Amino acid sequence: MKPQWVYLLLMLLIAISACDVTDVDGSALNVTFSLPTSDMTSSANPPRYAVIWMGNSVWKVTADGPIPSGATQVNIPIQLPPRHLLEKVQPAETLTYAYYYFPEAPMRRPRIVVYDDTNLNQQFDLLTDQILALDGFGQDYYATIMAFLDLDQFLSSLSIEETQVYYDWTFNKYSKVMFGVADPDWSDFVMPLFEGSSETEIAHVQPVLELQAGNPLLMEKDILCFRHVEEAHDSIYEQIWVDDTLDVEFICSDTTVPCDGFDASIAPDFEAMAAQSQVFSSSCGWGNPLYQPFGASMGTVTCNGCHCEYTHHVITYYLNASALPEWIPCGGQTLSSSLK
Amino acid sequence: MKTHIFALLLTAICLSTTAMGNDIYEDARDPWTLMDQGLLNRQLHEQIRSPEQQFRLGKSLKSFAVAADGATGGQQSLPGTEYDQTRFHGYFILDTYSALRLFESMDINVNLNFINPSFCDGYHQSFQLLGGMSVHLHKTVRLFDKPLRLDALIMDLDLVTIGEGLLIEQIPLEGFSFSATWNHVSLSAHIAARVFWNYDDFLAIPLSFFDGRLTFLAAFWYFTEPAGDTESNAFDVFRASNKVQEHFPYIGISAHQNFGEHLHIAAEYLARIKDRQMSNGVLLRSDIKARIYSRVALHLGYQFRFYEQHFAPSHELSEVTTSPALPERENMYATNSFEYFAISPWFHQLSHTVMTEVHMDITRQFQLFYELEYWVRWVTNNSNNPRVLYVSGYQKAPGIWHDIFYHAGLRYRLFRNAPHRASIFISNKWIASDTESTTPMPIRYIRDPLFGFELEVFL
Repeated sequence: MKPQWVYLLLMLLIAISACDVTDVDGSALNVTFSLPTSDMTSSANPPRYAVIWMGNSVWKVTADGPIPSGATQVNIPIQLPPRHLLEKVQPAETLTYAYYYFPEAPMRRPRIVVYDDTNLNQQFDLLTDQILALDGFGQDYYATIMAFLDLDQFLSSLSIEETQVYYDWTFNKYSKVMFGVADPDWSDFVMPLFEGSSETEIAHVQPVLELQAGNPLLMEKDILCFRHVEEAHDSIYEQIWVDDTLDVEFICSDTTVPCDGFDASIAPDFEAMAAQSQVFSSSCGWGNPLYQPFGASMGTVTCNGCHCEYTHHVITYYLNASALPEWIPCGGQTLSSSLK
Repeated sequence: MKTHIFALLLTAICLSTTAMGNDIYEDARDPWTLMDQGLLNRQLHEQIRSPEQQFRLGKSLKSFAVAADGATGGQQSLPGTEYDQTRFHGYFILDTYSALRLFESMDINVNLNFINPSFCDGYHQSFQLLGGMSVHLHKTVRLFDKPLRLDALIMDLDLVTIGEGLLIEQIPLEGFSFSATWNHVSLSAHIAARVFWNYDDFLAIPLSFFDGRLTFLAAFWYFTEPAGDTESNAFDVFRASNKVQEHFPYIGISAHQNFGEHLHIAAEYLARIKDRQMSNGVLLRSDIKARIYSRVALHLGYQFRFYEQHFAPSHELSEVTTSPALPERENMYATNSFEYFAISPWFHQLSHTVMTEVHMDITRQFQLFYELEYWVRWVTNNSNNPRVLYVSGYQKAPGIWHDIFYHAGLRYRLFRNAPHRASIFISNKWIASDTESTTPMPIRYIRDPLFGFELEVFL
């Protein structure tokens, strides 16, 4: 069976096995997350958060709620799925709790998403709603929430002195622990620190965790592929268009990139470009008395299963500095970008 | 102060003319067991001239005494089992003792132990030489017309037991020991370093009456954690704020009484007093030792131990270690204070142990033997939110731990008038050793069922 068929089958299984959000066990752990506010503004609808537990054939949302308008942080309740469902939350990852001196142990980690509730049904639909931010996206090492599959099994792998350190870091809590904050109501979660943390960082751990923004498709894939998206090197295609009123031949002679003249009085259809790409940005370059460069970049992400490729189409316009067209934003603004 | 005491002892020794007795000073060997008890690195003259050691070749050398116990053998996995052989899987040990008696009151004792735990490592690769030296000053003088015995033992204390063994029992240590005994009353001071931890020191001051049968004990356990060192141990960094040199005082009483030759009862109570809080420890011990039908030697023993939480001299969990790791230490009970101290900061521990040894002479040269120790421990704490920990990966605290140790086999005595012997046996109590026998080990015994064979000579 080809990998893409396996992937499609996986998606189908996930889509048909979504569960409601009320069926959970144990006490919740409230964790504060900071939001990437600049990327929230592109949300067409009021953004919402969701806590997702992924499995090969199941996914479970244990919390879903609105994010207050203008909020820069949000408190999100983290809670284990029901025990019978927890068994299906896979893959169990082998991770290192807190510091690399500890042995690795099987853990499960939820995904924390901020999403645009595209279908306005007030619950997260993985393949429908647009993801705006995600925990741990694009970062190799970061603090995250994790749950031991078997805390006793982990403790049995520790020496007596390692056990002492474990409890030092968890405020002498067995099972009800999260590093950095002593909260007896917290349940089976711990927050590990990434390999390479200095002792200072461990001693002054930041209790507010970050959510990262990124390409929506890649964030979706990051969830579906259990944080293991293979990203290929970027493919870049360039094109230069030179205002007909400038010396096209002279400017084009200085580059190997495809280069030609165009009528600058007719605005390029940037909306169409943005519609065709998943990441669109434009920016004004440093000009000179003769011409003003203006660049438009269209990024496209295509994925085959968990293997994704970036394709960038970069168009650079050289415009007559003495007669800038109205459609060019250069002058008061030197950089603009938008995230689709 | 130590210098003054030492000078006083030396002066007393030089003024005296009375010879010392034959009993061994601070003899920590267990007389109430059938397990082999080796030589000690002091008073070798007295040891090898005793009636049961007449086979020793070096017993008639006047001021010089020499003895050696040699053994070669292996500790191997049983066929078809998953267990690994021990570090001493093919070994040779020559444990030599020599003593030079000067001026009838001063012994220079040297214990050289030649070890090769593994013939598999390459030619002479694993050879180790462990050496211990002690100076033993001993004299008896007259005081108010009664003998006053004075002892000073310096450096190699060999096996040390404090009281009846609630605190320290049969642990090889180095340090200093002084004692004055008069009219059945004895006042001693024992100073040892590196007892159970790399940075501990120990001072015991026992005052004994009735030839040691009743003892009042004051002890101080000094404990210093090292400064944090990120390169050697990152965990230390997180304890940097707790780095203090502390001493943990203990006071208590112990007593023992023999009823004839066959019954022995002992008891000890100690309290650790720290920060105006007491943590109590209790040891009760009873032994019956007898010979039945002249061919069967039997020992039945029972021990009760209680270590209240915080009895050990540490505020935090801290691995207890000991060295050297040598097969001779298999001839001790697993029940030992060493096993209780590591988790003492968190848990109460109460235990019962029943031990029995039987040696049965089938013929004058063949002997069947077995040693069995059943040990059950209740490990508890008072907290509503107990911290769970595991010892050796499988003993969960809080909980109830059951352990059975056995050692059984057949011995063949090579000569009728000498104890040289060959043995084959099965056991689940094997000395846990790193590559080097001197590496301090946090566990004393490997508990895998293995078999062993051994050829021993006693010279």
